[in-house]
Amino acid sequence: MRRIAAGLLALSAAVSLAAFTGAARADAFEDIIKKGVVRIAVPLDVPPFGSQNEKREPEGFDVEFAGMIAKALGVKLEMQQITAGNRIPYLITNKVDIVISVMGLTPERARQIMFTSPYADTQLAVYGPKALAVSSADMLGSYKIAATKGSTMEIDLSAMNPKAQIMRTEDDATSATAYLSGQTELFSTNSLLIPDLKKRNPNKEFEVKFTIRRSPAHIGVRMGEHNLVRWLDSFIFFNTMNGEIDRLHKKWLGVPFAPLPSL
Amino acid sequence: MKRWIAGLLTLAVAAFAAAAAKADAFEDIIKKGTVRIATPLDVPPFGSQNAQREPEGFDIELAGMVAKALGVKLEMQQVTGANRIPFLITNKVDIVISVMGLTPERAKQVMFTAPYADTQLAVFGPKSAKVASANDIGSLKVAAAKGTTEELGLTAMAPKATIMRTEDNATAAAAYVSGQAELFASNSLIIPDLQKRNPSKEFELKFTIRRSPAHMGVRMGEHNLVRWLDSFIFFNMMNGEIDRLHKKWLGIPLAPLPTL
Repeated sequence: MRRIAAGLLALSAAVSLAAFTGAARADAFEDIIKKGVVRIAVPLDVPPFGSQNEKREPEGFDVEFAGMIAKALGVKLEMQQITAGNRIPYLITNKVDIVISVMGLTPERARQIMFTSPYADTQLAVYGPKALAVSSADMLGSYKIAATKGSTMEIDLSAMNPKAQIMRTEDDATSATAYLSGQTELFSTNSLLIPDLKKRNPNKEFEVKFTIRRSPAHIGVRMGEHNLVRWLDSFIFFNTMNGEIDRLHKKWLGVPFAPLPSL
Repeated sequence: MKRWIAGLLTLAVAAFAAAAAKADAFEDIIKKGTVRIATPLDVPPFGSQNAQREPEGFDIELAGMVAKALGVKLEMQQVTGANRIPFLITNKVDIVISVMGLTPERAKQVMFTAPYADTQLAVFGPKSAKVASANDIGSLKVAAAKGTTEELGLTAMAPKATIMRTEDNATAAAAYVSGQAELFASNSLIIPDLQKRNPSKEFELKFTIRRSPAHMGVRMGEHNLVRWLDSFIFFNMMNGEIDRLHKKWLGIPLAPLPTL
């Protein structure tokens, strides 16, 4: 009898543990709907994707897109300001449910988090004055180039030219400032930030020296959140079809939406 | 002691039931050798009954292709626009193939595959009408069902357009067929049927209001099944079968569609 009881106890413990492990794998999509709140990370240092206007209110492509997502989910939006350096840690440590931060997809990053289909078309490139004779990463020589730490630009530039003199900055605004103030001869940035920089610095030259890569922006969620990533893919598809993504491109980036491949 | 054992047993059974409840629909279909697919019979040319009262249409044929590719028996279940999602959620069917449009709202209840059919909301009229965009409507009267995406889209595109707002889609089509309106807005999917029933009337697509592709639906969380269906759709895009279905049932070739 005791052996039966012990056997039952062991079985029960094992099955309970299995069930508990299952329960521990909570579903972020279900949780968002249940709680009525979605926590979305957006940048405030990357105009026109995310910045603060004169009234110190967040605005931009990513900020507006985050609002559209909360509205479509029918839940309250809790916006969390992040930088390129901490957006993935914030997601992994469950401080946010979704990252919308003009984030490029790399296989390396995709080992840590899951990416949706792309929602914005951007290009990563190196910019500098017209006079500078640089048309590839091999020609960087001793020129100093500013790039945001942990960004796709910085990672790719390091790979393209391991000897490049990269000044690693905290965020994209600091990279641009380094170039504007003459601390660096070049800087790498998303092509779509250039119109805004030109407008604010009419005397400075922003010539494309070379393209690092086409790098569409994707939304990120935690690994294993298949229901959430599928819903976001559906949301992006719907808004591609109804012209809303095109409207966001025209409004914030000044360009129509060019068709993008999907995941 | 006996109570203790009974308690443990209850706990074990409950835990086991919880674990078993998270079954995989794809695995079940293969194991049982049957796939239950919901299709419409009231939406020609996607699903209707022919003269012999046999189901036929784009969705019916696609359902057969899905079952064949899975290597299982097809169990077809007739649904309407209203009960297709409840049928899926309550596990009466495994898959819905019912010219279903994707919306973020619906995607909270079911999961959608990549699109398999290209339908569009558009304005139709006679060949002679020189209308290539909403701006060209001028003084022509266009019939559109009140409150539909067509009507709302059209109103936004051409605020000055003379829109005859009808009760439903059938009335909008009837207004055009009878000559009450020079143009009418409709989903392109019903045009082949209208053309067949009104052979002397012209139904030329004047301009597109919005593309509205059709997707298959599965229950929330059935990621293996949705991935298999996405793969099936991709394969049949590549080999030309989806294009063949478009030509056969919709009378148009497949234009490249974005995917999920």
